Amino acid sequence: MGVSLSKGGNVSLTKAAPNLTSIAVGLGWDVRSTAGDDFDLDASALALNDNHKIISDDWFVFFNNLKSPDGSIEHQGDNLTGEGEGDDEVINVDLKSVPPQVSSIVVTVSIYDAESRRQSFGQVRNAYIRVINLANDVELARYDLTEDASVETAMVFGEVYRHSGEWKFRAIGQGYASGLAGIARDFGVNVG
Amino acid sequence: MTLTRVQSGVGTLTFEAVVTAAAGDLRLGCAYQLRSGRASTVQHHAGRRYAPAAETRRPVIVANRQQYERIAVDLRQVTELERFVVYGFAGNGQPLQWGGTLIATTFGGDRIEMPIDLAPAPAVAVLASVYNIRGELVIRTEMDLIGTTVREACRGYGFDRISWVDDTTPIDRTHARDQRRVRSRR
Repeated sequence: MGVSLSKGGNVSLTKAAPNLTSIAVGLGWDVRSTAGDDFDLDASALALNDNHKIISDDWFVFFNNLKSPDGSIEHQGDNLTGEGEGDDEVINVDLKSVPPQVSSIVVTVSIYDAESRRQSFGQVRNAYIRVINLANDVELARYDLTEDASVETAMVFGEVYRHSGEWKFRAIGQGYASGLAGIARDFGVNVG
Repeated sequence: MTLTRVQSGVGTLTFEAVVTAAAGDLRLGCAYQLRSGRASTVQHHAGRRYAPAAETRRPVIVANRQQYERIAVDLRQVTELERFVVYGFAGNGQPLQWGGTLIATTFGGDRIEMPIDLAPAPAVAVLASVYNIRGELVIRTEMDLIGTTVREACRGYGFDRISWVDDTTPIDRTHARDQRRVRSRR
């Protein structure tokens, strides 16, 4: 079990695994059983520059763009309902191949069609994000979200970022009421 | 025009026929084909509003009418969509004068305006085609008067997986691989 972080906390992945080359960012959640539509939560990743804005729209990795242009960030596909054990969605990052202009990779989760389905993260339980060393499947860090997010329809779970020559992970847990489009726009993606 | 992967994957893509009464009783329909092989049409005029047929909870395509006839595509399900065409036809069976504009609008508000510049004719016109090319939707203006029936127009654009009750009404199948087509020899 890796370092368990609180909101805002961070850990050096490089120190935790000195030969670290690639990671899997796993996300999981449970939805509260209610009558009505299924929940469809989508993970995405945004590769940001020093100004914390998207490098280009191609670096917005989501269900319709599963790989970054150089393949260093790769979404492993969609879990439509979140049922079952283990991570619900996974995004792999080949850290040694991430280009230098990428200062950080923000990992987000959004609820599809939240407004018309009247769904929010208030109905999501046991949400977490964790970072796994792909070389040996060892969990390096984990953040269990505990916020009561009754209006948020999207959330930045965490961030993998460069700092003084190391790769680090920060637990964020920041919510948005504007869904995937709102998060994407906030980081400079042209949703147009 | 090619939409980006973001434009092709976020929100809803709508097609709206902005026309005046002078054009006639112009109605919209959409012939579609999914990656699963399922193919059919939607037409608000015929009460066949959802694609796939009877999929009211999460339709990929919805035909409706507000001020104008409209086709709306749920881009969250774009990965399931292979291609579709938007066609126009006369709801009252009378020859159309055509005119007006077909407007495609992305979630972010970008618009593609396609003048419906066609000669008066008692025909079905394919107004636009959309293909999903590796996650990017390619929208092409067609403005093609093709056939006098919806069936002819669909077949003209290669929708040969659709079987028909009559010239307007497709037979909706639940699983394309369960289809059995018997071709009679002449």
